[in-house]
This record gives sequence, C-alpha cells and structure tokens, in this order.
Amino acid sequence: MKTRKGLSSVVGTVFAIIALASVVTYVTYSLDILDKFNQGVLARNEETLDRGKEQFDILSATIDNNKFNITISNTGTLPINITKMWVENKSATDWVNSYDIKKAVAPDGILTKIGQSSSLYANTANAYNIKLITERGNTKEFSVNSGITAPLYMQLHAIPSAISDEFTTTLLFEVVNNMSSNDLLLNLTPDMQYTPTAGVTKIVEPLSSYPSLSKGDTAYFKWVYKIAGNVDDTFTFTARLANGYPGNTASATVTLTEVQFAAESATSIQSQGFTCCKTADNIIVMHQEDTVDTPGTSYQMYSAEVENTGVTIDLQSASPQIFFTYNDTETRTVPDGLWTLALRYRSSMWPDALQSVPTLNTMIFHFNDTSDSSGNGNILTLVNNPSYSAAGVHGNSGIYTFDGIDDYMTIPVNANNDIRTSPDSTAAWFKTGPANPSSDMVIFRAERPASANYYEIVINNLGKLVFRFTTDGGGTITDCASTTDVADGNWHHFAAVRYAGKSCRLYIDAVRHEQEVDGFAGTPTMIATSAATIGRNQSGVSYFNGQIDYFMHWNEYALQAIADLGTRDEVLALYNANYGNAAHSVDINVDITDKNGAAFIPPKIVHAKIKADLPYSDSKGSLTTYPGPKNYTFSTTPDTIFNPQERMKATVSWNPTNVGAVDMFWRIDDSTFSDKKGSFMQVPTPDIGFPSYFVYDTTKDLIFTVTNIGPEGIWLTYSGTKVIFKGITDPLKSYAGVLLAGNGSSINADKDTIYVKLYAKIDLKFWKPKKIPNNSQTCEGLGQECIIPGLYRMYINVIGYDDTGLTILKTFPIGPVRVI
Amino acid sequence: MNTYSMHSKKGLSTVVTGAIMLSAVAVLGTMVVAWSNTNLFANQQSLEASFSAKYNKINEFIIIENVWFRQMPTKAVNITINNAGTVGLNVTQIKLADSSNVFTKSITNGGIAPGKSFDDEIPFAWTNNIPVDITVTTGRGSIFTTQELPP
Repeated sequence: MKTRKGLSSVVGTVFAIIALASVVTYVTYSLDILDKFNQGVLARNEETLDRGKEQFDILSATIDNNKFNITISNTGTLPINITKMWVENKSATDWVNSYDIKKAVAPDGILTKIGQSSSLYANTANAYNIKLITERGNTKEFSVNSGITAPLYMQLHAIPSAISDEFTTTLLFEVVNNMSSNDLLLNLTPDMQYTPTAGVTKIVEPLSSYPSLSKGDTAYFKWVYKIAGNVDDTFTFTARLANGYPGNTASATVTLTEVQFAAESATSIQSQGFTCCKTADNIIVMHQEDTVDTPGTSYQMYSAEVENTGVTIDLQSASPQIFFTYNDTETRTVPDGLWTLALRYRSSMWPDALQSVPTLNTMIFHFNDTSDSSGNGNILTLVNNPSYSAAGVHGNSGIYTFDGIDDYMTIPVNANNDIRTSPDSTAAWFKTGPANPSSDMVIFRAERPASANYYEIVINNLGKLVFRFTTDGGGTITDCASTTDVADGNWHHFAAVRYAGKSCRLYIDAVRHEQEVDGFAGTPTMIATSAATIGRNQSGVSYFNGQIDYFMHWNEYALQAIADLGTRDEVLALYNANYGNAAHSVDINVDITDKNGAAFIPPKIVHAKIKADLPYSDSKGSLTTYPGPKNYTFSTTPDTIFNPQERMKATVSWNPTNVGAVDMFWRIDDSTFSDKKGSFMQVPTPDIGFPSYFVYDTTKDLIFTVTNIGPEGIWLTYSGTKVIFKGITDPLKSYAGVLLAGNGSSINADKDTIYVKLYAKIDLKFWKPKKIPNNSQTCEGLGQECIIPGLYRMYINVIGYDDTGLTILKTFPIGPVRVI
Repeated sequence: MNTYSMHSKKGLSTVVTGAIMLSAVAVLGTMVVAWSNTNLFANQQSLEASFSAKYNKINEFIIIENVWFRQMPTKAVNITINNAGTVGLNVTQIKLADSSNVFTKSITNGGIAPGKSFDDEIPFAWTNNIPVDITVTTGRGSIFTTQELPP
C-alpha cells in the first residue's frame, strides 16, 4: 500500500508542477507585455517633447536663378531634418506643389540653399507661400514677394503735401505686418504709381525690397520726387506691394502751391497752456504755479515763457516770496559773470502811510515825463522848455530845471487843481538857483482872476517859502511861511496844507514851520478859472529859478502829521518817500538748496543782499499795468555749480528802510506780457539748461495746445506735425511722436485737423513718442520702441496751412523736460 | 491457513484500489492542466490584442502637413496627411467644418505607412477668411485636428 500511494503522489506532483509552470509562464509573459507598453509610452512622450523642442527661423528666402534659395537657422536644441517644402504660387490659381528636401541641420547651425535643387521653376514676378516640413512634423510658413494672404496696414505720407513748382516732396510708405497669422513676410517689394505722370521726376527711390518682416514689425520705403506743374495741380501717389493683397494700397496727394516758404504766410500760431515756449537757457522765468513740485508754497522758476493768467504779489503784505528751479539728475555749471533779477511790478503812488489819501482830485508829477502819475489824466505843458534831467532828488527820478527867466509849466484847470473847497494840500521837492532871489519865485499857483482869489506857494525875496491863499478877493490872506531860509541851493521838501477854509500849516522837510488860523467859518471856495502854473504866476511874472521834483497836489485832502493831532504821519512819509532808484528796499537771496528746498550746512549762497534798492515803477495810476522789468544786477565768481538734485532758490523779501517805503505790486506769469517773460532771472548761460517743470508722464496722453493768433484761419496737418524729444540724459536716444488728434478728432495721413478759427485754440494730442514714430500706442515689438524715462529737450513742430493756402511752419522749443 | 486465505483476498483489493487511485489522479491532473492551459492561453490572446491596440494607438501620429483651398472648377480642400508616427495607420474619416458647413468623408484607402503621405481632395464650399476646422480620424480611433484660413 505504501508503494502505490507514493506513485499516486508522484503523478499528482507532476501535474501540479505542470500547472504551476503554466501560471508562472503566463505571469512572466504579462509583465513583459506591460514593460513593452511602458517603453512605448515613454518613447512616445520623448517624441512629443522633441517635437516641442524643435525650432528654426527663416533667415532669408530669395529666388536665385529661378530657384528658391532659402536659408534657415536651427535655433532649437535638437537636430532638424527638413523633409519637404510646399510651395503655393499665389499669382496663379490652384497651383500647389511639394518638393522633397531631406536636409538636416544641427542645433545652432544654418542650412542654406533650400530649394536650389528642387525641380520648381520660380518666377521672381510671382508671389509664393512656402511651407517647410520637418521630420518631426513641425512646419514653418512664410511668404516670398508679398504678404498677399491678407491685407496689410499701409500708410503713405507726402512730406510736405503742398509744395511749389520744381520742389521736391518725400513719399514715405509704411507697411505693418498686422496679419492674424504668424506668417513671416519676406522680400517685400514696393511699387509706386502716380497720376498724372507728367511733371514727376523720381530723385530717390527705396531699396528694391525689404528682406524680412515679422508679425508686428513695420517696413518703411522712401521716395523723393521733384514735381513741376501749375499752381493747384494735384498729383496722386499710390503705393502697394508688388504682388500684394488685391486692393491693399495707400495713397497720398501732393498739391502745387504758390507758397514756397512758410515765412510767406502771415498767419502764425502761438503755444498756450502749461507746455509753453522755451526761453533761452539763461532766462529763468518766474511762474505762478506753486505747490506743484516745489517745496512748500513757493513758486516755480524755469526756462519757459509766461503762459498763465498772472499773479500779483503785494510784497509788503506777502513776504518773503520764494522761487525754485526744479531738480533733476544733471550737473549744471553757471559760469561766473553777471546775474540779473528782472522784476515786473508797479509801484504804489505813495507810501502806505498815505493809504487813506484819495486818488480822486489829485495830481502827481514825478517829472519823469509830462503826464500825471495819479491816473487823473493831467498833462503838463512845458513853456519855453524847462530842461529835463534824470538826476532827480532821489536818483534817476527825473526833474525839471527852470531858468527863472521864462520857463514855466501850465496845467489845464479842472477838479484836480481848482482849489474849490477846503481842504487842499500841495507838496514837492525844490532846490533854488540863486541864494537870494530878488523877488518872489512861484512854485505853484492857481487863481480866479475875476474875484482876485488865488492859492500859491512861492519863495520870497528873503529866501523863505510862503504858502498863501485868499478866497475873498484879498480880504483875508492866509499864509504860512518857513521859519528858515530855504533858498540855499539845497533840496528841501515842503508840504503846504490848507486844512480848513482859512487855515494853513506849512512843513519844511517834514517839520512844521508855521500854522495859521484865520477862522473856521464856512468852507470858503475859490474855484480857479485859470490854468494852474508851475514856475511862474498867471500874470507872467515871478519865474522860478531852480529845480522842482515830485510835485503832488490834493484838491480836497489835508495831509496829516501826528504832531498836529493827525492819526498818520503822512507828511513824514512823503518826505521819506523815494520815487527814484531806491523806491523799494528788499532783501535778495539766491541760494543752492537740496531737492527739498532745504539749505545746506554750511549754506551754499550764490548771492545775498540786505536792503537792495529797486527803482520806482510808475503805472500812471493804473492798478493793472506793470511797466517793463526793473533790474537788480550782481556778479558771481567763480562758476556756480548745481549738483544733481539741487535747486536754485531765489528769495525776495520786503525790508523797508523807513516809513516812506513805497509798496510794490509784483506781477508774474502773465501771458499778456508782450516780452513773454515778465519777471525772470537772467544768469550767465549754463552748460545745460535748467529743467522745466514740464513732466511728460508716458502713461498719460501728450497734449499740446496752440492758439491761432491770425490773421487767417488755419488747419494743421498730420504730416510734419511732430513732438520731438532729444535726449539729454542719453544724447544718443531721441524720439518723436506723430499727431493723433486735434480737439479730440482723430487725425491721420488722410485727414487734417479741424478748421481753427482766428483766436481759437486747438489741443494737439500725439501718439506715444517712439524711436520710429508711428500711429500706435503699443510699445512692444521691433520698431515700436517707445520713449524711456529720462531728461530730454522737447520741441513741438507744427505744420499746416491757412485759409488763403499759405503754409504754416512753427517750432516750439519747450526746453528740458522730464519723462517719467 | 486461515491467515493465508485472508492475505489472498486483501492483495487483490489493494491492486484494484491502487489502479483506481492512480487513474483518478492522472485523469484529474490531466483535466486541471488542460483547463489551466486553455484559460491562460485565452488570457494571453486577450492581453496580446489589447497591448497591440493600445501600443499602436499610442504610437500613431500624423501631421496635416499642408492644406490648400482649391477654387476651380468647384471649391474643394486639398489635404496632405503625413504619417509621422512609428506604426502604420489607416485614415478612415476626414471631417471639414466652418461656421456654416459641415462635411464628413469616409476614407476607404487611407492606409499610410510610417513616413509616408496621403492626399485627398474633399469638395467643400469654403468661404474667404472663414476658418475651416479639419478633423482626421484613424482606424484605431485617434483623432487629429487643425484649423486653416481660406484666402
């Protein structure tokens, strides 16, 4: 039994081994299959990755000897095998063929002469679309001879578009590859047609073709033509690409005009707004803009003409006044030499102590001329030529010298001088000729002959000054005389006051010499009927021998002196007042500060002057007139250096010397000033102009406003109207922008601005300034390089024509500007 | 004596029983092995078929290397397909569609060896500047698409 059982076990075991072996074999087979599958997946992934790494560029594509000659560059990291080239003849219908290439190129290598061995006969007159196929299945498509697959953005500019007979015009053809596909355009060949053809002579033609134009790039072609014909002849130029997209053209028209030079057009334009005109680099104009890029509430100061509504500064009330130049990153050197602070202001008629004195019924003669400085319109008539000289009692205030023989002046009688009712006052400076006059010498006299009434100031034969008047025909003569001899050949000031009907006070050199009271009954009236005289009386005698200055008369006002129970010392203020070289006393400081306006330690002082004298500026009574600038001059040595970020600070502070200080009303940034400067600092010409406060923020629109000042209405043209930025930070970088819109209306090569009527304004908006100016705001891609931040010198060039057909040309230099 | 008689009967029974057992083991063993081989073979066949289908499908890759739009005499689309994969494939269907038309063409002779190309012209009323979607389907169910813009 044991033996038989063992045999069965052996047989069973054999079967079990067989079954087990089958299972093991199956499992092994399955794993092998899985491994093969994995290997397949990995290989597939690798092929996909390699396909993505495969890159090549078309370097050139030409037709040589009627065969394509294509050069490519392998810019990827894997070898590339070009297997096939598809060619579509766009100049024929349904003509497509493929050609085997089978050429390999290593990474970073160049493969040339693709297509030279193909059987294709290529015609240079035809346009082709070509596609290269790689072994991995990548393709690269491009066009030869034109971008024919879609219309391209084209513009044709005629610069200028209006010329004279036998003059030249430049035709600039602009082609942008704006196709939606990524096709590379190769060998763009321009074609120019024009009508009529007679009279047109080509002077310069562009390159025969443009080698390569990627998507977003711009190609330019330039022709220069000389055109002959008659006035008003028009020539239409049409540019296209050879074998380009049907109907894809650009046109421009050139018109012959009589005008050969812009100077022949009398119509002109001027800039307006913040971006006003540049002054010379050595003229730094004071502007009214404050708190904008200036420290504190100080004003701006830079080299640009006045352009604002103007601000009047009452320096006595608002002092000090501070102006800053801007700061930037440049170093400036101002050579040694003369600096001039030129201030535009009007002086007050008299010191502030006389602020209650009315200007009505008043005469003021400073004797700088024959007109009345009170604004009341009185005119001196000089008889027998009293001689004028500038050497007045206070500097160049002007005086008249009377010869004591026949010189005198008359003033038509009127409410300013007819001594009608009290009070009245008269004041002047005088200097007698002879030490002892033989008889009365009249300084001023008014009279009413019919009633023998008069009012006069004379020097009597004792050398005393006498103020006397009568309103009752001589019944009562009120007179006040000086207690001292004033005919001593020296300057003296008198103030004669008729403070009541028959009462007077006389002040000599601000000291009261006499007061007379002849009664206060009523207000006796004289009412002169004869012309008032200076230098003699109305009877033709008593000529004055000597000099007179600063003559003033108040027909209905009594000057006050505190000593005589007045509330103001007006007499003393008049005595101290200066209407000559030293009318105003101010402190003037020019410093260099840091960018925040803070002084350095130790301070960098360019100039410091305490109580500088400024001359009288006579507005003749007008409160809105500011005569030409008065100068304060100083010199500096050695050179003045402004380091990067430093500013020039100019400070003017009110600092009167006495109670006679005459206030000054300083006017800045008034665009009505004919010199377009107003108040400014003139410095020795710096090596680099001081920065303007104009900042062009490249994220915002660039808008420039001009005004048509006539005499004709105008249009401005797209062609030639430009904004130009010349690099200062980097002199090699300059940019320009073309016109985008005028008063919000778009402008292009086919459309000029709206009609700008006489005295109308137009806002000119420009496209972003670029290295290659174009009508696009984008800055991406070749040829779209926009202006970069930095310091530039800015110009606006405006071209247009007026409604009489004449050409307008104008360049506005804006000066150094910051671009941010 | 009695013992001898008894021994003689027990010996016959043992032989018969042993033969039966041996036969049973052999029959059962043979059945198990046969069943096992049959089953494993069936699974192997299935695995091989599945592997082949998946593996080949993965390695299928075509490029629509050129499409051009015929204008005359009637509008049509000429398509060139290149087998850039490592296995042969069979193009069974090409479908064209733009914003207004859809056309599907069944292909009966679309076999392409690796590295070889297949051309076909499909009548289709394309419209200028209206994109056309092109879908190519293979026998293994792979789908390849591209889009072309008629001139």
